[in-house]
Amino acid sequence: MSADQVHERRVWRKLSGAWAQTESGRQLADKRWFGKVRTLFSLGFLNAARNDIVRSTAWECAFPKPFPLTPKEQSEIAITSSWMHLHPATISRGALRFSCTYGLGGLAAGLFFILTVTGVLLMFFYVPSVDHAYKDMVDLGNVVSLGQILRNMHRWGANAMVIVVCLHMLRVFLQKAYEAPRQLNWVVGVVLLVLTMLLSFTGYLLPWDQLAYWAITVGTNMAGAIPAVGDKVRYVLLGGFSVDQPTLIRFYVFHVIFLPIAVFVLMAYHFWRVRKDGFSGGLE
Amino acid sequence: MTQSGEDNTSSVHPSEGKEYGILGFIEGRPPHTVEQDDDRVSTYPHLVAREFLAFGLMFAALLLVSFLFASPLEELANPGKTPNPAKAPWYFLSLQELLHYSPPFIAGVVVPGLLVFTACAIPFFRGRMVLLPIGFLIATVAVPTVDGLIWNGIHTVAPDFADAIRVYGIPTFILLIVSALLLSKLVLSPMFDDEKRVERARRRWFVTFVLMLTVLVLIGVYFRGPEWKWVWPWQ
Repeated sequence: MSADQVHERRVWRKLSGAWAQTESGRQLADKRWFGKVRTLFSLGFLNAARNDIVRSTAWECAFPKPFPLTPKEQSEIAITSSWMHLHPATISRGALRFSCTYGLGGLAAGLFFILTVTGVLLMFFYVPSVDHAYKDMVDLGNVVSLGQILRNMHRWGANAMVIVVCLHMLRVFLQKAYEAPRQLNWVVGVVLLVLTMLLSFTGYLLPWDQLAYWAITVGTNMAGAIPAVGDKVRYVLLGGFSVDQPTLIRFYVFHVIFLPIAVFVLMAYHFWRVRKDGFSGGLE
Repeated sequence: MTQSGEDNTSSVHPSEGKEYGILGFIEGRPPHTVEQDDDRVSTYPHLVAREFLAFGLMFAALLLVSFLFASPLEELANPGKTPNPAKAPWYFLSLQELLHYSPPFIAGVVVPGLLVFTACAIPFFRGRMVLLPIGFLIATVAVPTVDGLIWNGIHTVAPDFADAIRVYGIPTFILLIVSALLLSKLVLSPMFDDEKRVERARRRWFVTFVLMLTVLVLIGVYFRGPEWKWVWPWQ
């Protein structure tokens, strides 16, 4: 800890000490759960054990910076941490209200994260071949430890993501959050919605059961209705005249490489624009 | 500030000790002050804690659902055995429902294309004009449905006649253009001079559009059986 930081902490402690002297301050302090936790940790041997851990070299290597306590340190976290830099250092209290966003955009991003993790894990057990795909699905349910749960999470998570992204769009529309200067971000959002559906659609074929096979047949038949080039578009999508091995590998590659990368890049741009355009309703 | 006991106060108030009288009050901000928003909190931990809480709850809910409900897996794909009906994924069932009413070119190409294009165009219309793209979204879904229902009606009475005179989606195009013209007339009418009224219509029209798609999806999921005929979920 630098000398500045030590000074800063001393001032902050003094200030919060003064605050705790007031009646309302004391009431608030009583309510804080971490006050109770701190009391717990100050009990004799627990305190000693905690100190042993916190002062070890391993701990200092893992957490080179002290736990942020002062407002300045907390702001610095938001600015310097690569994980946190999507956020502004401070936000208005009004923006914390749940009804401000209903957390839908964040949940969509969270679902994308869960789907990426479960999807990569599923890739260990899945071979995109007409001979193997269906057997691998059955094995996921019967042989692989927690395989069925993994597959369920991926499938229900994908359905949930389509719903959450649609609700997010509805929320943004109802709050008029697409107006200037956020027009471009709305368009990016619409593209992300379409990409989400395509991701879900390409994943739909992979189990290679009757449900998957005929849903993709119905879906790609629609592309065949484009005038003049429809048959060619359908041929390119399927890699042939009907859903078969070439279709499976095409959909697989789109599902695990191209579309996730496209969604990731656009999501990063979407978030960056949220910061650039400022928050709605005069919240920032 | 009468006593200059602390060092820092005296530096802030160089003319300490001098007496002032109030000459009058004027409106406006006092000089040398920065507009400060005291109602701000640091993102960490206030927002971050909420985000992690939301993510944790969502993860727990997803885990619970995954433990309770197995995802569907039917028998091995068999190109020789077409299920009846063959349904697309649920989010495309609104389009498949339209496919039942209108030719594939309309339901599979024109409607989805127009929906995405018009949705992208929404923020570029201002004031009452925003009702145009939203009304157009409704028309894009409603017109092929109504058009298809009319043709289906004619078809049940005189199938040969209907097949003979039905030209590939042209009635739908005409209906769409007519409804677009009617829509622009409506939006420009003095009915929407009032800003509040525009705002109410904006919300209601869009919710109507979303509900229309939702109803089409629900019909596709629960009320369509063999040959895409109407069935009740309990049948």
